[in-house]
Amino acid sequence: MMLEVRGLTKSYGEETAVDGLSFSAERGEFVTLLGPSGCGKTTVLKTVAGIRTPDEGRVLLRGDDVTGAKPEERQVGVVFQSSSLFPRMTVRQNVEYAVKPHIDDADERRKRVDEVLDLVEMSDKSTASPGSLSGGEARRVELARALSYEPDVALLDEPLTGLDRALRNELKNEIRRVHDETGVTTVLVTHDQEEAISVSDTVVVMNDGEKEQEGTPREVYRQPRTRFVAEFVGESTRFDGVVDRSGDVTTDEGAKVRVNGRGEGGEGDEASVYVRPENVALVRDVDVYDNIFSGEVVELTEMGSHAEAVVSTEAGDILSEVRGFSDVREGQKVVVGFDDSDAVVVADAADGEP
Amino acid sequence: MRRRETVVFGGIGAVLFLYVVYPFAAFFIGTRGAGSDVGSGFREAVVNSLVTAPVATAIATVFGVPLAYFLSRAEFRGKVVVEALVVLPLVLPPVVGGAMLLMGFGRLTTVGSIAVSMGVPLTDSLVGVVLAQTFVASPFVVVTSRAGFSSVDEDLEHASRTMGHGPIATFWNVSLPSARTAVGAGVVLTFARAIGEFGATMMVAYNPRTMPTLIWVDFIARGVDGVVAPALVLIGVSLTVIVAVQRLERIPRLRR
Repeated sequence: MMLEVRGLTKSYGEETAVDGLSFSAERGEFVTLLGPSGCGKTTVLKTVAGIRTPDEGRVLLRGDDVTGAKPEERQVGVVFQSSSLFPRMTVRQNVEYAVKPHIDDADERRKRVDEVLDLVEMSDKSTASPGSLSGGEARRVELARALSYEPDVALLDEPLTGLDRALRNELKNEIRRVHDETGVTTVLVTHDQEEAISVSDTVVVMNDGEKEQEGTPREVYRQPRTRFVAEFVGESTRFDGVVDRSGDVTTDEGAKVRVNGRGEGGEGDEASVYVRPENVALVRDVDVYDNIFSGEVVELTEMGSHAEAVVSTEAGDILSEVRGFSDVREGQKVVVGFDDSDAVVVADAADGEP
Repeated sequence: MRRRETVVFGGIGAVLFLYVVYPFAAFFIGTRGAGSDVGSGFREAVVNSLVTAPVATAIATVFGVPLAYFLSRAEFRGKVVVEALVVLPLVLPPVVGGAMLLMGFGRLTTVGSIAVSMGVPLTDSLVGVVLAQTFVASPFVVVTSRAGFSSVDEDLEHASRTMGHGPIATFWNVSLPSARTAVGAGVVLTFARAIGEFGATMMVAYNPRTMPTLIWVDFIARGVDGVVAPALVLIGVSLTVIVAVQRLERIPRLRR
């Protein structure tokens, strides 16, 4: 195991930032800590880097306990949330400064700087000063600088925050490409679920300093185990009700939602059923789906590639994703349907437990 | 700046500027032609000032910049008190500062007498001048540098540390260059205050003369006319050094 975090706890005064968090990353794994701002994810990253000292818990790199080690005694590369390029050094000098403690030979050092600047396609900006770089360029240089000395773990703190959407997508792919080319074990921190799902091997969802769920992007998206995960990761329609004998849920409004064994919850449990809007279809052929509700479109939000329709039904409002700029209109009577295998149950008892 | 801003800010600022410049003009016009002769000891006073003020500035900087950095980063009980004490010489009338120095380092005190027996008198000597200047002028470099260090993003230092550089290397390569402008301003202010220092110097070391003490002595003996030549030299020297340091501070640091 390249990185292991065990039972990490850290308080600032009265406030507990991280509460007994554990996770690990295998060599070459891309792990993302996903959670809302203030959930303690940056604290976790800084503790792994040795910038913060935990109150309790241990940090292991390559199996060695480094909990008390200074940052310079660990092999970690960090990209900080706000740009941390040294303003009085050029792009090249920034990377050179990072490589210096690790490579004694000047020629070899120069070669390494060339390599990493090449890796992030910033070679032609090597004499530029950080102040003259665009947000995306600065991020690339920071990434190159953090990887230049081949750290055991790369720690990326919200590296895409503050960039516009197109650039974010480009840089997101770039980060994953660089990860795949270098094979460096990576821990990324973000509040953006799309980012987490699209780049990670493993997603650790955090809330209030605790781990809510850990799993592959698919597991976290398709099989949320707590209400927090179901609601924070992606959009959903939620039906509150009680689990019946067959494992389906009867909602408080008396509607029955069929669920094909996904999620947990025993008979009689108060539970919620979540279904993603992209799995909810506005249908004409009612036989295709396990769950069918008729209602009226009460709200339609165009997104371009798709639109989101809120359909008011006897089971409550259901969010459905439809093609962008289609002929669906507000006020229209429609039928919505989704498969039982696309619905997931989260029982009340599971709430707040990892 | 647009015309409107120029009128508003320039206009208001001009009031203070003129108020400061006016006495200079009055002084030079009123004393034109007078006092081109310099009294005895003039040369020596210039040399003394040019030796002591840079030494005092250097001492204040060498010890003050680390203190400033410490205060900007460390959290400890009683920090507020330490910060207040550091600034205290600024609010104290310099004469009172001089009196305090005499109580601490005078010939009859323990420290003072030991120093005298070792051949290094701490009063009425160049060492005494330096003590007085350092005491009065050092808060400038500490306060200004501290503000500079506080505005440096700590993540810059964290980045340097994670790269494998220790705290000292990080200070030299990252913190200090990033706070360079503020530290430079503090050094200039400290030097300006030190070379013009009179009140505390007069108490601790009336002799040997520095330019400010010589100006006082000449003024007592010969009135305003006696002040002209040494005042001109003091102004010239101070301006030269201030401009030079400001220039130097703007030159990008050469790196290997």
